[in-house]
Amino acid sequence: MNDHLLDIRHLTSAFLYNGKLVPVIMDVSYSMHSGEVLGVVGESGSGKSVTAKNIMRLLPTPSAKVLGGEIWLDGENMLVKSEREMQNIRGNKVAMIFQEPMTSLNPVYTSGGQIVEAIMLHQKLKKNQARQKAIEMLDLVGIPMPAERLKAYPHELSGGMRQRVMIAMALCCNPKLLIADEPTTALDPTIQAQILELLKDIRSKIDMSILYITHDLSVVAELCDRVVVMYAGMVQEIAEVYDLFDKPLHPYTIGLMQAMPRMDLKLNRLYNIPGVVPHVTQMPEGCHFAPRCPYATSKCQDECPPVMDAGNRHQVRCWRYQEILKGMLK
Amino acid sequence: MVKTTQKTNLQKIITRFFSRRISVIGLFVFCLILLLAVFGDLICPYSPTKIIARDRFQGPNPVHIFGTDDMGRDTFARIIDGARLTLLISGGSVLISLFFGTLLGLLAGYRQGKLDTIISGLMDSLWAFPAIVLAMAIRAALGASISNIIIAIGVANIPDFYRIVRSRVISVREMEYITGAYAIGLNDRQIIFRYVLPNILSTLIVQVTLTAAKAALAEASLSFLGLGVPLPQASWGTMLKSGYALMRRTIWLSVFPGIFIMLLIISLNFLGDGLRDALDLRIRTD
Repeated sequence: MNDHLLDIRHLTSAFLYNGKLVPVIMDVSYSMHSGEVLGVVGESGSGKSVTAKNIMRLLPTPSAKVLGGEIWLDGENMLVKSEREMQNIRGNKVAMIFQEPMTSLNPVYTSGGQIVEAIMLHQKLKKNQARQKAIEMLDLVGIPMPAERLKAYPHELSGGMRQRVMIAMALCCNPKLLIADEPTTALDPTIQAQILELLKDIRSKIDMSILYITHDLSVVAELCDRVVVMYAGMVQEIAEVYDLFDKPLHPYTIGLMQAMPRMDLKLNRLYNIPGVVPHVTQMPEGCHFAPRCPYATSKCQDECPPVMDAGNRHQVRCWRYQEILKGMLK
Repeated sequence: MVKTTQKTNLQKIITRFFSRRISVIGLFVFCLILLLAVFGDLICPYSPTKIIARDRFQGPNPVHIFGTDDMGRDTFARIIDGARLTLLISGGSVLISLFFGTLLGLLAGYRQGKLDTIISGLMDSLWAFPAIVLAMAIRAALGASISNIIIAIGVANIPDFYRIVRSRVISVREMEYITGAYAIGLNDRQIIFRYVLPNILSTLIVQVTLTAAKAALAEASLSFLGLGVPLPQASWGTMLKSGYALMRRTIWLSVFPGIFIMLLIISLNFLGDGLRDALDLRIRTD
């Protein structure tokens, strides 16, 4: 094996739709080093979450099915594990935080009770030791008066607080990988900034990799080392964060960048990429982005490009990336 | 900063329950019937079964406050005795419906797929089948006894719990905290009993009171049709039936059991309504 903590190879996974298996992610490959923060961006329905949930095997069977590929986490292939083995890995080696802090805690238990449960599930600790540890975790995620907050029910906490509790719960067993599935999307901008600050802070304190799923490029710029851009179930571009913002090579990434609101430009209207994401049952034959791409040729319509290496650890799935690189297309 | 609330959730529920007149009335009347069944002997000196021919057909009077029946037995003593039987049958059958209905509902709602189709089909046919006919069939198969009546009514009411549990489970299992529970490494059994069941508990508590009322009424109906408690034991339903036969002689023998059946069912329904409002999570978050 190599030094990758996470290595997803040619993952293809499908959902049952009207009795047929329809692939929703196709040939997805990306990897992460330990300690790295990898951002996964793309609009809704691009397959970001599906890929992440596949890592933890959290998708419902039999309505979701992996058709091919491998997911290696810390030297082990997740896709051949039994459900029982997965239960030991989930929450222990890899943990996840979710988008909706309002609904991701069990309303009938105290927040502390849930953290204690997660701790005792994976660590041989006595109840009061686990409680002590839970208090430490709440303190780590910046919750004031942690001993008292332990007794609070989720409905007694604000959205930002609940997300902090979720993060505490995810971190309590020192996972090697934290999957953050749009954890700030449902929060208001001030709290969003606080949670991002917290994640950066935690990352500097403990050795942990973060897989950060978002559709917000500014969050990516703020937090991530490397970025995976996904569109319509496929990886379109992978690059170091500076490289990506400096020299986006995929027309879709370029479109996303143009669509970002900017302080330094006065515009009447924000740019938007024309068209909509195709429905999973009506994916184009060739490049999935071709119908919306300003640079699409007949080759793009007919043949889906492979992921190509543009050097400097920059990968892109586009037939015309070299022309884009040389600035020949405008 | 969030100010910590002084009251616990339980205290909040109790406060809300007692703030409504209807729930207090329901609880009060139900407790009265319960006390009558348990301590009735202390206030009523007469035997419910002793035949005293010269005291036949008395109306309510200072000696026999509810009067006497065609064999001179004290109606009040028989109401007390009947209360025990009625409560036993209603309570026992609810336990059966609650246990099997919840178990099947959890299973079908959580697993879904083929299992759900099969169980739901069975439950729908049970639900569509007239309860009286079902009870007759069970009685014919197992013979007439109190435990068979409990089984018959209990089985007939299983779909009540099944349907409500299944539908609640289906909505709860889609909540993000269930995915969250998987993500921390809990298994199906732990999730069903620690995450799903507690979240549907309030619905179950309310349904218990409503089904208990339904079961009491079913017992009365069965006994009235002569399919219920075998003689000489008296439930309120059998008393109502024998009173009905003697309606031309005196109305009192039908009036008192009728009033008590009505009081029990109304009080259970009030109690259920009060509990439903007090336990409602949507209101609880204020």
